Amino acid sequence: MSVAENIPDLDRKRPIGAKKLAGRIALYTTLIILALFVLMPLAVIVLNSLRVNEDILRESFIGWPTRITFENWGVAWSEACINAACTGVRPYFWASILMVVPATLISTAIGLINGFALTKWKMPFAGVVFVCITIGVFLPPQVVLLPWAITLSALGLSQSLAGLALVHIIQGTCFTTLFCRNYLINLPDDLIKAARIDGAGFFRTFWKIVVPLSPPIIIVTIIWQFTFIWNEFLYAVTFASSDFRPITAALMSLNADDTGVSEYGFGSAAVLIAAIPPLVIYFLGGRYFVRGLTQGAVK
Amino acid sequence: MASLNIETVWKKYDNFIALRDVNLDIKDGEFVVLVGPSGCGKSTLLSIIAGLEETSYGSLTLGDREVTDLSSKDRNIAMVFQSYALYPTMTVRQNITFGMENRKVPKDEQAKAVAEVAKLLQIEPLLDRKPSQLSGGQRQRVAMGRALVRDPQLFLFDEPLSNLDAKLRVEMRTEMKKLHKRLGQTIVYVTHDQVEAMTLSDRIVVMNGGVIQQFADPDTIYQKPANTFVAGFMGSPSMNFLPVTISGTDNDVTATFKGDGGEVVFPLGSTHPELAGFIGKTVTLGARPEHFVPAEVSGDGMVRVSATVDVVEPTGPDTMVVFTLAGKSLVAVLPAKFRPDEEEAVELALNIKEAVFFDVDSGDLIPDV
Ligand SMILES: Nc1ncnc2c1ncn2[C@@H]1O[C@H](COP(=O)(O)OP(=O)(O)O)[C@@H](O)[C@H]1O
Ligand SMILES: [Mg+2]
Repeated sequence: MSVAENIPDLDRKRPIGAKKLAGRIALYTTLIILALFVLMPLAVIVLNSLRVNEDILRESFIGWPTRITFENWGVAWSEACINAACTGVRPYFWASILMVVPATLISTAIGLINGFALTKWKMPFAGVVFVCITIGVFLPPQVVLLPWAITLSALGLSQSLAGLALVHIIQGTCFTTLFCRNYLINLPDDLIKAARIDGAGFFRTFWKIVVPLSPPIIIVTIIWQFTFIWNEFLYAVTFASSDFRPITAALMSLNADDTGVSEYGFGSAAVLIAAIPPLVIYFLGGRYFVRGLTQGAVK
Repeated sequence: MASLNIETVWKKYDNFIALRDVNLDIKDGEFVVLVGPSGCGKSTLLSIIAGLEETSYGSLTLGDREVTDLSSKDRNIAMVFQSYALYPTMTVRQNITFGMENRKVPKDEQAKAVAEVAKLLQIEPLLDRKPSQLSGGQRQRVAMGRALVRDPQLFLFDEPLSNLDAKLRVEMRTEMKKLHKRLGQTIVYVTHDQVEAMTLSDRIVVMNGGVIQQFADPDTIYQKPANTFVAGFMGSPSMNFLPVTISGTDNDVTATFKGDGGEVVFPLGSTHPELAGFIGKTVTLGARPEHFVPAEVSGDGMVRVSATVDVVEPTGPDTMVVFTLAGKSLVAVLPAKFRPDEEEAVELALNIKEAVFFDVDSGDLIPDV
């Protein structure tokens, strides 16, 4: 066989007709308008966090900064007053971290173990147990608020960090079990059988075979849980106290300081500070998020 | 190494009975192949032997131990899966040592065992790779290595070669046979490939619908199939079946086939004494495709028949001919140079001594007397 000497133009594109071009333009215009609509509020908040107070008072909540300042961020972080304690959002930020990180990790771990037991370990009544667990996904939080309050007070955990973490671990387990079960069901049964023949028990198979194959779903679950628990407001407000207050509850009580300055500047900064951790988590693991939710296949 | 005794084993899934009264007595060092169509219960039986599934009834004895209620890890059995089931996140070495790790075998013994098996299977250069970096044939070897390294009492293989391409499959088949010759383990090997079954086995178990149809050596299975199922399943192309009426006397039997297109008479003489009791009755004649020859090369004990050729399929070494005999479509495997035209009338001869006969109602072989 002879090979062609001259390489023809291989970058040929199919020509676009006028009608198709018009359609494209209309489509992208619509998309851009919608995107701007969604991004507007975020832009306003970001701009306000960078504006000096006089600008906001003189013009309005919406406007360009005449000069850019980071003062608001400092005030929000360590000076703004919340329920008469002028500490900024800093202590609440750390309180949230201390509650959210363990709650996320523990609920993810339980979900993964549940998923494994439900799909691959011939657990008796696995179907019924799974349905019961997933009912928790569809329960509105308002419905279980009071039962939780009673339970926590019976456990001596009301209005504490541990109490709120416990609520999120148990509520979250419904979601994490659902995710992990749907992922692990695609794990080849033969792997588990091979491990059994190789003499590995439940936890050894889990630890040596299942966990190493699960990073995509672990990351998805962590992102989901972290974002949800961090942003959660109803339980946070209900179970907050002067000893323990997550950042979402604290934001609500953010006041002007004694000088009577407008809240908009550092209020915007505080909101943005509160939004940073989920964003960081998402940027670190976001690649897996879409992948993990859409494909569970292990090959 | 050990013998394996399976006694009246039944298996029920929910409402479906997957195994019915399975009895097998497998000798120490024997290579037994389980064959049958898809869904006949081969993997189920293997899982029960492995302890991955429980029996619904019956018992299993491995060597001198009753193992019916022992878990897999206490049975000392190794298994190679159709999918290989290599642990994807472990290296080849870790795959092979995982079982020994679980059994807390000392590290130096592990290293020695891995080295031995790697040498035997020629996978030494692959030990630090992940399964995803291996070809199909290499994965297959690693899966074998994982089984061999444990020195178990019994090896189970579930269609281990079915994911390989045709050429590699034949190579690995030969290698498996060599390996068995050399190491002499007791092996239960599942396949749906009847060539694999014939070539590898000391004895074959043919299954259908959860029931064992026949358990015998390959020659017996091929030449004296226990019933029409075994006869039709083993051998490719399949055995030809013809309903024939038996007439004559005990020492001079004639079988007559009455088809839409006329009558064919097979004078059997005294070649089939087992038919003595069937005079006046109808039985099923079974003739393998290779028992037909072109009429001109026919000799003693051959019955000439006139056929019309429907389809000619040259396979290389042979010519497969689909032909019509008195209105019934049959298949013959003839020498490669025999190339009739389609629609052509040809004279063939059937080696009637090799033919077998089955009871029309039960489908069971009419046994020799
Ligand atoms: N876990 C199970 N639950 C219900 N039915 C099953 C199960 N496993 C296998 N079966 C059924 O048992 C029959 C035998 O299956 P199997 O042993 O896998 O067949 P083979 O390996 O011979 O193709 C099939 O009809 C299959 O549908
Ligand atoms: Mg099978």
